[in-house]
Amino acid sequence: MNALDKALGLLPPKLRCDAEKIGGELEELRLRAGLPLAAVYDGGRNREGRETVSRGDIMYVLERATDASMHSAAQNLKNGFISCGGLRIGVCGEAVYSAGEMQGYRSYSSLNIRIPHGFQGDCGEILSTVCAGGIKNTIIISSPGMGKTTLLRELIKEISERGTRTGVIDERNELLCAAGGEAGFYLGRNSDVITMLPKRESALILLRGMNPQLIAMDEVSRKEDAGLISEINGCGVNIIATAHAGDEQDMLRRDVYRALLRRGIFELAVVIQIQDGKRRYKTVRLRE
Amino acid sequence: MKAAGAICIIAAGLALVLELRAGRRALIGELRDTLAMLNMMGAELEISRAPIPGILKSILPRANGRAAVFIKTVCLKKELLGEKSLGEIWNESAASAFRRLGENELSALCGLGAVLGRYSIETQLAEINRCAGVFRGSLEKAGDEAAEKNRYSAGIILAACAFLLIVLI
Repeated sequence: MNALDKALGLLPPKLRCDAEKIGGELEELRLRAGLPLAAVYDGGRNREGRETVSRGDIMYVLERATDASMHSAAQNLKNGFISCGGLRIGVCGEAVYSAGEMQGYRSYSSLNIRIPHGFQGDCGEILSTVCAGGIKNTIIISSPGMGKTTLLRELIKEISERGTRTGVIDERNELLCAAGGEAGFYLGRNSDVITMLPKRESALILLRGMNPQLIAMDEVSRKEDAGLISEINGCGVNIIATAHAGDEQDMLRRDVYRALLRRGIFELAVVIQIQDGKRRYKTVRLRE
Repeated sequence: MKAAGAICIIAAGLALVLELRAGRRALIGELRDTLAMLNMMGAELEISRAPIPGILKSILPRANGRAAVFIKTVCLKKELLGEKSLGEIWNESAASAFRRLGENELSALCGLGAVLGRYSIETQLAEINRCAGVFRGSLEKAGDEAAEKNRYSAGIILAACAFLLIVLI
């Protein structure tokens, strides 16, 4: 069953029919209580369905996504998402906050089902730039929903296939998209993947036990992540990561990334932008 | 003629006794298998913290008898999630899979169904243990009763045989 079928299988029958009629390559399905089903497709285009989403529909999806076992999603729910069969489902609603942290949700008002896709096109040019004269520490940057994770997944696979021992930190199961113990995407013959564990714990396990030459991770967004990258780099291990930013100049405006760039940890940035309705990949040397 | 009649009566009595014995054995088997299932469920839940249907699927190869039938039924009905709650699926499956359990045991299972998947791991584990406790008690009671009733029935059969032999001689 592919990711799209899995996503459609989570929906109540009326919304499933609605979503199937949208056509194109579905990237996100958004359910907001009291509003029509909304979809993002074909590289960021939006369309609404006819059916109005009820709170019951949202509960239906959550029941199916968690196999009616909220305990299995509790930790992720605190971070606002559920990982289900390789799909990532963003969750919003009335949060319960106590003891200084979010405990979960009292009720749910909207969901965003993100449907992962394989890389389309040829990443050969990016790959040869990243690998020329040894693997370069690379950061893939774009605005949300532009395909950072998809490109990272493809680079991991290709680099791993070329013989590099690659440790993959897959905190949200978005790279491997594992379901029921089986990988949704092939990440190469030399990849060792840790899923659903915070980045720091994953990195320690990989560094202690798997002797990686390269560590790949998705979504560097916090100061702790930036610190971790410095530590990994200090161990002599290369890094490929993704970050939210419009371009390399935008990165410099953000504290988290500015520190990393100033330390000269990343040699290369791959910037993803949409031009004329198509994704364009630009490689930028961050230091010589 | 008398001898043939006596043999028929003894055979009928024996068949009845064996039937009752088999029923008691089946009840003990059902209680033992369900108790084993609950213990495995608790252990798996504590370690893997996986969704309940996934846990049931993982313990299915080690489950026996009606407990295995019950697990298969829940797994098959999992597709109805969303339309039905896990508790409803659990209770329906229990009612159809377990044939010899008493009201007490079925009620304990239903109580567990209402908790599974809905509350914290600790609460679910406590309910599994409570339910397992009910089954453990029932199993002990059924074992004691079976031993006692087996002794009685063996005594009755022997007495009947002796009586018939006396009558025939």
